[in-house]
Amino acid sequence: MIIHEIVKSIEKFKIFSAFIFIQLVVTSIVCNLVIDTITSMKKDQDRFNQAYSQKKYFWMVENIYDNEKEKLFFKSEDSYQRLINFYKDMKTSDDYRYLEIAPQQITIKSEQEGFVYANNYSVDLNCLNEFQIKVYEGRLFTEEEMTIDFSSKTIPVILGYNLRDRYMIGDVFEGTYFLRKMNFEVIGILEKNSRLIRNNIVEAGEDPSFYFEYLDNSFITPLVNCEDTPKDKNERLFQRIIYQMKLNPTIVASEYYNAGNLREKIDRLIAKYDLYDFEVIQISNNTLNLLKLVSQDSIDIMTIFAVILLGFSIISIGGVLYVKLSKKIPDYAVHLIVGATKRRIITYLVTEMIAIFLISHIFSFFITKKLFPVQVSYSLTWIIISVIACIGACIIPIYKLTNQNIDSLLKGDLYV
Amino acid sequence: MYKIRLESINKFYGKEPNIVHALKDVTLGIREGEFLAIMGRSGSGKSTLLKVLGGLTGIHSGRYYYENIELKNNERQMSLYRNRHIGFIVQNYALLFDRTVFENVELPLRYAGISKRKREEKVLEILEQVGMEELAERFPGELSGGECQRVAIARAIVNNPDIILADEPTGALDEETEKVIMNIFAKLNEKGKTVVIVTHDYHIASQLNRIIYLKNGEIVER
Repeated sequence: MIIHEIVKSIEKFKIFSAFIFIQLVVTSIVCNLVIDTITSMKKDQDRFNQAYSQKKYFWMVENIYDNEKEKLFFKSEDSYQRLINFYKDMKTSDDYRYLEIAPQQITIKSEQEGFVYANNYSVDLNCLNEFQIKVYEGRLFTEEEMTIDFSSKTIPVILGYNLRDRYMIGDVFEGTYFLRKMNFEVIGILEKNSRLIRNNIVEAGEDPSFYFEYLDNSFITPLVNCEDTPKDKNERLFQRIIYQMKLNPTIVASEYYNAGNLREKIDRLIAKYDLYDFEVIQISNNTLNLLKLVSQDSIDIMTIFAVILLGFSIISIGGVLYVKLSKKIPDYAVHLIVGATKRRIITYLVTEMIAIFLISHIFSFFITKKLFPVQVSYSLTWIIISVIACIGACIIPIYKLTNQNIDSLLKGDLYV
Repeated sequence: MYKIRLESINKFYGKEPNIVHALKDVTLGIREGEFLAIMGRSGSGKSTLLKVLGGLTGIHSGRYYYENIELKNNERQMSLYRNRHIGFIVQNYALLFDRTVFENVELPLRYAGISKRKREEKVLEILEQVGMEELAERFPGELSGGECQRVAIARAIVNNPDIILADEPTGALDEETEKVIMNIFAKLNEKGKTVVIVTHDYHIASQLNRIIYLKNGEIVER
């Protein structure tokens, strides 16, 4: 009986039903998009706070005024082994995390243009963990893939999200990696908006600060270990570049750790391996705080936008719903005359609205998935809000219906 | 025995300060098989009285008996009562214009939970009784006023109610059609149905067995 009545009602008020349906579908797509964006921004901010709050950041870099000592160092026979050992000792610590981030372009072989440059970040596993970098498809690097020898011909590569259509997982392409010809094997695609925090390069005496580096248009390669003894000039150059990159880390420590502790360790190891000098620069937290504020501002603006949009949609849909229900009132009076109760009539009314809402949600879901296949998920928050809005929109007609007598209902006097 | 008995019924409309006392201490008994007319001027309370008799509107005070059993003044019981015992015909027919004659007449049977097959049999039988069987698949918008009224009557009697209440059933009809409709009521009454008709037309009222007059919500003459 209920289904029969709902079908009849939708048939009778085709235009109104279609209007409500279209309005709901459009509102659902837009509101869901806004709510999903706010939710992911909020998540992003939480991740940001979790990752960067109450931490100290240091940047370790060669002392550019110690150039002569550096040249002398690399003339020594065992310089590479000492450099590698210094790196290993630096990296091993319970007091801090050692993040290797090398913005080093790779080249990719193109049939038309020869080798072309492409943005690349070479990173270690600590960096991927610290910045909570995840793949949308495929996988991240394994521990084994972080080490190569001079006979290795293939290196794994992860694509930034915007490069996902360029190669498929499993594709292998030729290129150069730190000036060495290699094959790159695609093993994964990063999630959209994957990012890491970089410190900017500054003039002497300036404080370095943070900025977000988004990886959507970059290739990501491992900043590998290569401990083989180099046999020729090219291999020596490759190893030197790699390890010098690795010795420019960002160091993340607890707020109780200080630059003095780090300086002490570096000096001890420099003396041990007779190495050239490094500087330790503590990175200012001011820009980090600024980034948090900007992020909070964006969430606030989006929330205000969502509330206005929702309010407008509820009033607009509620209005159309009210007119439609008002037009149905004389019909409801007929049902009352032939034996229906008001409760039954209200059940028809609410069920019909819920049916239209459900169908429009299903449509919106598929349209959302078609328009934004990956970025936007269909939000449970929006479904709950819309159900509340649906019930809210029915409240005034239900109230009026309950308080009218048969006479006024027959005349369709819900407006009075 | 009274089929319906009302005792000291009071009914109000509106809100302070514009309250209308539509029925004032109305006491009335209607016997089984009566053919009764309720008359009065516009605003005298005759339609309200009919709606009270049909359980279509609540009362503010008084008692309502059906076959000596007092009915509670609640919506659920009244709707059951309407569905089982009352056939109601309102002014302007109150038909659903998006449904066929058949579907309109079928509606009370749906609420009564009758099976589809029985509904079909019953509706066709009733439509034949009011001379509308050939127009079963038409929509009310395609019918004349008299035909619409016959559909309204068919819908009112399809559940085989004991009591038929009609509010100005011939008000919008020509003389010829009026005769046809009154003839249907007379036949229903002959079959033992209690028929109550609200009218302001003496000619119609004179065809009935008893007339009561209402003035300002009070019965002034029986």
